[in-house]
Amino acid sequence: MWVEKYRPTNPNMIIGNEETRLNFIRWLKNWGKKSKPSLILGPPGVGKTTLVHAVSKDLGYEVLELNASDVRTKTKLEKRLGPSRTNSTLFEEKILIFLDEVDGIYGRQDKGGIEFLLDLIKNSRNPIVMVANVEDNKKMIRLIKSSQVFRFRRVPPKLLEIAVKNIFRREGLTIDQLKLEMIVRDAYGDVRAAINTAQITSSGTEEIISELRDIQISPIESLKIFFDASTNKEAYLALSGCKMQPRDKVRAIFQSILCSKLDGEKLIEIMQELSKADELVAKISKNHNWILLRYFDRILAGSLFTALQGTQVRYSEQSLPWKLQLRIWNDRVQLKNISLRLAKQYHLSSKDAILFYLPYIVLLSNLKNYEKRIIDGLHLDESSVKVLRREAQKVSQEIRKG
Amino acid sequence: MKIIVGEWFRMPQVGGDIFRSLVKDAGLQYDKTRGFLASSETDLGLVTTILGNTLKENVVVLLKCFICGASIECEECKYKDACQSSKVFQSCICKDCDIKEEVSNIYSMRFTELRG
Repeated sequence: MWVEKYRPTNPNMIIGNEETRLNFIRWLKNWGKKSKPSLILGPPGVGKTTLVHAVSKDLGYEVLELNASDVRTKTKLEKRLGPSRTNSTLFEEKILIFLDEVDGIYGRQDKGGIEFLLDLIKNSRNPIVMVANVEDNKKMIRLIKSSQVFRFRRVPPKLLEIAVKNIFRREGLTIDQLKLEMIVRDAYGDVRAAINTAQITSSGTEEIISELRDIQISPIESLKIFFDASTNKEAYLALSGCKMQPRDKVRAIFQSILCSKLDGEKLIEIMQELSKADELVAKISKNHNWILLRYFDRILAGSLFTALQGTQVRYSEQSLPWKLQLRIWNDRVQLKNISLRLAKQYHLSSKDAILFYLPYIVLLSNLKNYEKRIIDGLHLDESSVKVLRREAQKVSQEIRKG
Repeated sequence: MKIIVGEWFRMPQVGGDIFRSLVKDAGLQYDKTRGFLASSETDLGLVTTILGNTLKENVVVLLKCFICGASIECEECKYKDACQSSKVFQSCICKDCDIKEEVSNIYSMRFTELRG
């Protein structure tokens, strides 16, 4: 494999992330017993693991490597890493503890794993380097706070082009400029993907290039790129490159939209578009028609891209304002309850009751004579009455505003 | 308005809210004496959107060439569309350096130089 054959063995030969690379080398060079451990964050295929191995070799460290997503329990971690808590080895070599994919250590089944890791960080007499792809896992915050963080970005296309061209030259092969540009574009800043695709191209099976690409984007990055996208295709690629459940994608976009400052009409337009994708997910899971999921990213990107044009919607990690959360989770239950009673009373489907009748009931409840009749007629309890009054008040305020 | 990644720059008064968005949300660094700095941690896409809307003028981001230090206009790049949304690179390679035969080696040598 070209990826292995041309893997840089020296930190100077890696491409991209120059400032971060320099800072990491400085960190390891100046490492002392009071130094924090390092945590390298970044998307796959940009040289994080390669850098750790190359710098360790360069500075004379023996690497004690552990893939944290394979060994995740406290007992197993302790067994593998316990002896490294002391720095004495038979031949007095310098040891670097390298924990790859630490983001995989989290989860319900991994009780104790993270506590062990935090304890190891505190008491280790050897430098510890951790690598993770994502930083949106809230539990990672503890690790981020106790570490010196180095953030890797995707590699600029120009540098990818230089690297791929160089490999072709060393292989004694030539590549058509258009194909080269296509490889670079499709790699999306992922060096590993670019080299893999280049090798496939050289073998003459380039039709399958884009199908074979193995590019994964973290959820945060995917959504950031999605909101920043300048073309529909770019928006689609950002969503499709992220391994996130469709429902979670809708939720994350929903949250980001609500946390952005949008005027009422635009907000309605965007929400309507988002609801199309949400409806699709609901239909798929209701009918178990999973094959339709392949269209989900396209529909989500396609319907939202135009609506989001000219807005400043950005990915937001902020949770919804408490007032709004309360309204969504608490009032929703009460409004559904009112609609169900309405449906039963007037022999309607619950969907019709919510969509067409509830708004009129809310409007009518604004009128003094009607409010009591509605409450009695639908046998509403105190909490439903409260929500109904609040809704009615909001509607009348909106009407007054015009 | 032009912003060169890695170089301090100044901008007209934009008000407290915009300033906070630029520094807190977009990760632009601020120093009273030197002004603003876009670094590798800055969300350049967000900076250009905020400043473009506030100042009502086109905001152009320039990266520095890692080899020669010249500023690079992304607008002129053939890969403009491929990396427009992830303007988070620390540097790039300018046209003049790109055409050099041993650009790959020159790039590595420059890194070695910076390592000291």
